[in-house]
Amino acid sequence: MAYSQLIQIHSNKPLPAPTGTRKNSALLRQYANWLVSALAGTAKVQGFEAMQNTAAAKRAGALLVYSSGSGTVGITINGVNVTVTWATSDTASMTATVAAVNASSNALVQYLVEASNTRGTVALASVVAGTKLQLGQYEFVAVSGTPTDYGQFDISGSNTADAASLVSAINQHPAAGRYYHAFAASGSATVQVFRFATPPNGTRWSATASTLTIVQPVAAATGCVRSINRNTYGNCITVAATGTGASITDSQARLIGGAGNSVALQQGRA
Amino acid sequence: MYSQTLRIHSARPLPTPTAQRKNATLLRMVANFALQSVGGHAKAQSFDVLQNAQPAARAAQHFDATELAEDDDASIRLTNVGDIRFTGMATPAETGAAIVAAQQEDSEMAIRTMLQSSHMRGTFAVTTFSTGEKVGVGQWQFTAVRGTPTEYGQFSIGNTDEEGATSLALAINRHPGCSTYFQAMANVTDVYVWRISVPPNGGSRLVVDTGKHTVTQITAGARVVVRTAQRTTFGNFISISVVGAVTPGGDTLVGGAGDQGAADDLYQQTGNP
Repeated sequence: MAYSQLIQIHSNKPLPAPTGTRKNSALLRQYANWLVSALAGTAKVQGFEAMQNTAAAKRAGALLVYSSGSGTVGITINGVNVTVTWATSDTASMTATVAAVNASSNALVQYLVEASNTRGTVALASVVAGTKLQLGQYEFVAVSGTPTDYGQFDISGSNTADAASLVSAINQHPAAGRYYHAFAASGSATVQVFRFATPPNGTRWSATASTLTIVQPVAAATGCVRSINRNTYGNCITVAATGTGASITDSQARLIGGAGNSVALQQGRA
Repeated sequence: MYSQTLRIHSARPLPTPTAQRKNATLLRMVANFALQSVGGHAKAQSFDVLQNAQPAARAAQHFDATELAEDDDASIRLTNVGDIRFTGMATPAETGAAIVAAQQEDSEMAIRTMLQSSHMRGTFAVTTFSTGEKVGVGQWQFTAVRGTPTEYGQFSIGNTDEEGATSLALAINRHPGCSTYFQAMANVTDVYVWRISVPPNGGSRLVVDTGKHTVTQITAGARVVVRTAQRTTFGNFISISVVGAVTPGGDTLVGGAGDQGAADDLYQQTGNP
């Protein structure tokens, strides 16, 4: 069972700020200590909410595709147009579009969504249990049946169903989900995987069997836009393609795949 | 004022709240869970943290079903969450109760868990707040200040009654304790206050200097508020459409906050225990 638990704390003092050295377990220990100090009153906590979520949280996403684009192209996110002038190639124009999304200072875009067109693919063909896929340092293991842990995907169905399970495994992975976002177009056994940041220990992908065909990530004419936070509410963000040759995969009107908020919150006072 | 979010991905659950395991006791168990995550006992695999320098608030919108006739069907569609379907009743209060019951008892889990609603509403009609003036909402007190509020429980008197009303509504909605039980929306110089659930202490009386302002205590009606259960900016992207004689206050839920960090480098940090 995988849990994604959310704690929201309302206080008059900030959490310890992460630094280059204050990270990972050192940072989490400071948060734990901060929570203890909240009980003593020194953190000036006035209320908190805790959500015990028995399902893994995932970000919501959508794919923007350029094919023989021209003129002004881009994406409308939450009604905000983010566009560039098509130049050189679809891939170069998508790279510019992604940069524009990430640089947006509009309150309906900034801190809410991020974009990448650094894309690789993983094609599935009769994968058997025990086959492993490695995305940088993160390992995904094929199992037959419902996954019971992070890093597992189910290969008991069709290739298309297996691809959907791999997409879910990547997107809900606690650490890999930060760096990668996967997408399988409906009816496809090929998973598109976008790299949003460089993971700490290598970016090379590999598989233990030829039933997984890997194409290493490079800049592409397809971009992925996703919610920065892992939550169900991300599914409410609207998207639309703008310009000649631009489209959203599967004609989505909104981001899809977000999860992690479908459990009632518990609220309390410190 | 900060609203900080910590999300822990683990193979073991947080302690389950019970009638006795709540408030400080629950927070202590959450702190212990975080410590166990560092020690490995909680089998935490990763965590995300958002150090937000702004108070978080829920997104909300109000709906007026006063004109819905008895036995007429109507619905409120919240895009990508679901439809709240209900039928007009003999009185406005009964219609309001029917809408709330439809939300709370819907067969769709998203409707039940991502949203909250209420038809129990009162009103502050505001006339010239003064610095230091107190407004009471149940057990919580809000103090009028000049300029930008710096503490929970403060609101700005503003330059006009409209600004004062807007600031009071905001103060109620971002208050860590009060907003759990109440939701406010400003309408010109009125502040509508809905009681989402009954608070534990002090009842739900609205208190204000009646020599200056007018207060209408909370009663049942057909003006209903629907809000996100969680305090999040993302709630603002839930769009609204209605079927039947129901008038929404806008096209989307509004007022959600809590996911936009003060600085990019402090925004969302991911780490491994």
